[in-house]
Amino acid sequence: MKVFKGRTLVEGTVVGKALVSRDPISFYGGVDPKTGTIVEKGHSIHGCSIKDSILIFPYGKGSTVGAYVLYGLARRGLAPKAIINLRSEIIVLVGCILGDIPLMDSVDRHIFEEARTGDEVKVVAKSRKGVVIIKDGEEN
Amino acid sequence: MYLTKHEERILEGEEGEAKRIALKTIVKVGEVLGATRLVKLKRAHISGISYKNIGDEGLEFIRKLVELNANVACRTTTNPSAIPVNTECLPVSEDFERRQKEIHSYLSTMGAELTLSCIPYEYSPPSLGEQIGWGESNAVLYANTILGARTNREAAPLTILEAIVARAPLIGLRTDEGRLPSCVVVVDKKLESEMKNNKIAPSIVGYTIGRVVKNGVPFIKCKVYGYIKEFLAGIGASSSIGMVHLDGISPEAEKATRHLRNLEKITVDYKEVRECEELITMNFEEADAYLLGCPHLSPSELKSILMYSTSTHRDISVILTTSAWVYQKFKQLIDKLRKRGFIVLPGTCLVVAPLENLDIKRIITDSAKAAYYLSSQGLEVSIVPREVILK
Repeated sequence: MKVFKGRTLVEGTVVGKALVSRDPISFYGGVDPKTGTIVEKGHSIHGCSIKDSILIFPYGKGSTVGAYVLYGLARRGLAPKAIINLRSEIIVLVGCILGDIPLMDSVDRHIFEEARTGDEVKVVAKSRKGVVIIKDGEEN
Repeated sequence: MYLTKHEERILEGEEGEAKRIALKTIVKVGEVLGATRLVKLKRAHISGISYKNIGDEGLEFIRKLVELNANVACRTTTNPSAIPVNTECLPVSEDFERRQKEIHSYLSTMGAELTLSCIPYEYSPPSLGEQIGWGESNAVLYANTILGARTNREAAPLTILEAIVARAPLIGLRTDEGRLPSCVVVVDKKLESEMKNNKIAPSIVGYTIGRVVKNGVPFIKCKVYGYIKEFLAGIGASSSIGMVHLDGISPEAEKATRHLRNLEKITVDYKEVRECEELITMNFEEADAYLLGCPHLSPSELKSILMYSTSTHRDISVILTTSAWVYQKFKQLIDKLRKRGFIVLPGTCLVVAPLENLDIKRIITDSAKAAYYLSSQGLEVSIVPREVILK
């Protein structure tokens, strides 16, 4: 079990499977709003669905419309269960606030080495501070 | 976070529910990102108004604000729509058109100008040091980098909320520290000369820099040939960057040179640009259409395109996208271009318009931003410098 501390931006406690992207994500253009699948060519998680995942990526990029896409995905049940960033920027933050998606940032960048796609992850994002708990493969 | 008496009254709902909700969200964003206070805005630019992009959820979001009697509290312009002013040029379903027009009417009711343009800096230019609330990454990059105005890349829904209260959280690029350079980017000489000789479009050079640097405020040593706004739009499409210091051009670049010591130095070369280009482009012999106007064409660009063109007959259609504002103010120019056989689409752009009804599969453009968004929707795109396209 590995624990990463971070800053809570949007509160919530959830459990889910990790989806780890080393690349930044543009929710507009990079994600299919109808399915929640990553469609950006050459992206490290191209073809993966973000639905119900604990989506771990460094930060957002691209169009400011991304916040609406994230909000829309949440309204239609296609959003991640939680988002973990190294540093959240305003587009992801506003999308998560409006869509009520738990959001944490300022986690140690080693999370990209320790967390693997498919790992079971618990996110406890309480006021100000939160933790991301990654269960090791053997424990699953 | 410090709030003025007036802001506290808004939060208590004394100026209505719309303002209360708007300010509450802005304060929440500011609080979690460490703002000490809010700043007043004289200008806002609402991004995310295309029904294709924001869908029913976005439409509901805007409708709800209007039902609460929301009004904008500063000069507010709007981004391109999914349909052009002249709807017949880009037919969409009746239902789609009705919903898009519903969004237009809500924005208009709120007091926003239907400029339907991604280049608000052309007709509502902020001054040096002015705090503005702009969405639309290319406009944000231009305002910060070229005009020295101050805005973050405000999320699209946040731009409406900021317009309603004329306030934004004092964070990031709104602060002096947030505008300090974070790394130095050197574009190698071969790449510069390829740009100069119209062998490579400035937009893909910008796109590559964005992809390599990813975030922060890079100090860029590069002489940009061609349109700087396309170079900046390229950076915006591939990164979360909202400002760069362009050596010799940006008003704050000289001051920034004092902070370059000890910064990481990143070199971008010709090979890297070509590799990056391959990710969003395809090689093909014949295109279905040419596209110019991402970002939107300004009146002076439209005039120079008109001067370049001699024939009225074209084998391949040439699509020009520009703003509704240009269409209203320069109608004769648009008419002349149409007579020369150009397809002019004011108030929309192919990045935000529904493409299903356009019989286009292969497109040539000078814009890396357009290439990124169009290729992610399944089109085959090739990037060629504008001068080459016009020839």
